[in-house]
Amino acid sequence: MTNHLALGAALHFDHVLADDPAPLEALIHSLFSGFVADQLRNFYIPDDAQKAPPPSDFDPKKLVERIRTGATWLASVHSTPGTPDAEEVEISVGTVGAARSSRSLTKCRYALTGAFGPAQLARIGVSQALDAILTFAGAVAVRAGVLHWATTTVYASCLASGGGSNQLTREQNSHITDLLYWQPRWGNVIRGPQWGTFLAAEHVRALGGIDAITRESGCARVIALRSGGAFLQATALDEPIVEDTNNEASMARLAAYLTPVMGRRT
Amino acid sequence: MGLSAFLMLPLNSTSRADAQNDLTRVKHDLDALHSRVDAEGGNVDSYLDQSVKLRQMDKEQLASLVDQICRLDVERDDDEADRIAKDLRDKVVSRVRGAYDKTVDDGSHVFDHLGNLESDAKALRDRAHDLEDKPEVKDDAAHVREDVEKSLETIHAMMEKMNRDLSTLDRVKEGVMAGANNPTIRARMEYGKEMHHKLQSDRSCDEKEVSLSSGRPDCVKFDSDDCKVIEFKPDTYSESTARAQAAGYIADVREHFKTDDRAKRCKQDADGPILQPVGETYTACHP
Repeated sequence: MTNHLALGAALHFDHVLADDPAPLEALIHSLFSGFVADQLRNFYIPDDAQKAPPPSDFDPKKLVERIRTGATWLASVHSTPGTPDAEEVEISVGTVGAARSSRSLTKCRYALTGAFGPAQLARIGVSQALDAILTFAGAVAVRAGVLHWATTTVYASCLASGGGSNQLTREQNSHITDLLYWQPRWGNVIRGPQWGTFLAAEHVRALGGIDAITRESGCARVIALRSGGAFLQATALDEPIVEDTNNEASMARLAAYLTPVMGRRT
Repeated sequence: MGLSAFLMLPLNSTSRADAQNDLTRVKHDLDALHSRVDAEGGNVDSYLDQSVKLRQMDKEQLASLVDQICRLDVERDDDEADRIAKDLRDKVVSRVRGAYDKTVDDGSHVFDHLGNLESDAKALRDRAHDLEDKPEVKDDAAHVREDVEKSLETIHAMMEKMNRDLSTLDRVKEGVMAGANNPTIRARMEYGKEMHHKLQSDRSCDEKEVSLSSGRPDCVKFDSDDCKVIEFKPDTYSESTARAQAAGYIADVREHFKTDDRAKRCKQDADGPILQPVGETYTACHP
């Protein structure tokens, strides 16, 4: 069961939210409309050499206005600083305009990363959270992405962003950097596989189409996205694969199946 | 008595009537003085009330200013946050100084009125005192003089109160937050810079605040298989936002250090060194 687990999400895409923020507005609405305003904060990093101003009151409209300027490198909604780990929630997304450098380390211009503590997942509803993420993925034509289950929200957050934290063990931080080997190719190749793996439309085609993937991947759930891409869920929600647990066997099977769309060392 | 005695009688009678009239006018003026003393007492009270509120506002503005400065990520002299902090400080100092100016001005007016009142009361006292030489109104005049003297005491007490308040208010105004030199503000503005220096030293950063097009990362570390870009922020930010800020530098840091031998110590991805973005928060200063 996922009751005590945190979910980390990462999606890579090229959709310019500064021009069309509707997918993000829908995601924020789906995830956060039940929240009390003072539980969340707006945050953004301007696209210049200046540091980000302090987080401000949660106001989706203001955040979207800022995104529309095209001069915001990253926009985020997150829990009020100091929130206990299990109650933390955050989404951060690249939003700089198309004419500017996105500072991306992947083949995709932008990334959305999210982390949902178990208490917030229970509040939002696991299925609702997944549906919201999948809808966003379809709307922005996701090119790569993963969903991780982890025992803490900070770990889920770092797994999604590829970042490190003093709250993690040395092994956990090292594990995260190990997962970054193909980062410069993500988008051309898939990220992962993980418990949840996003495929671009070209990956779906390379694997023989959605029906073939459904039949042959061995995944508990395969969802076709409106972009032509797909979401592969390795196991059922009541048997999640949790990071750092013995998941090699099930992931090895999926990795073998996805080899044609994964990075390959020559 | 003769003629002269005959002529004296009406004169004495006139003199008595004049003294009575004078006393009546003095009494009338005494009533007016009482009213003015009462009214001025009200003005003094409302000035002192305003002064107390101003001092409270001073404290609140200072607390609010310090709170805002503590929320900022002030890293170094003249960086954006430092400039914002200075701008906030200058605006608040100017606002509070303006309020002080107005209050001091109002207080000066009240004090001037008290001065006029004191002069008028003294003149009235003298008039009452002069009437004490006239036997026919002597006793009444003495009572009036004593009454005026009581009013004068009240006026002096109000002047003393005003004087005390105005002189301390002047001192506070002169030192109103003392601008950049206010130790509370200065300490809060320096705090972030000191914390950055401390953390950069504690974490043994290989590079500090290297200038890149995306900004100046607080710390770059080239430890074996564990290279990092660390962003330090006060805990008014969440760790994940500090990490996101660090992530914004990674592409530039990779490019900047691509030929640096130290980058060879890092784990490598398909294209080059892996630098992990890390956010670290420290306890923000508090008002």
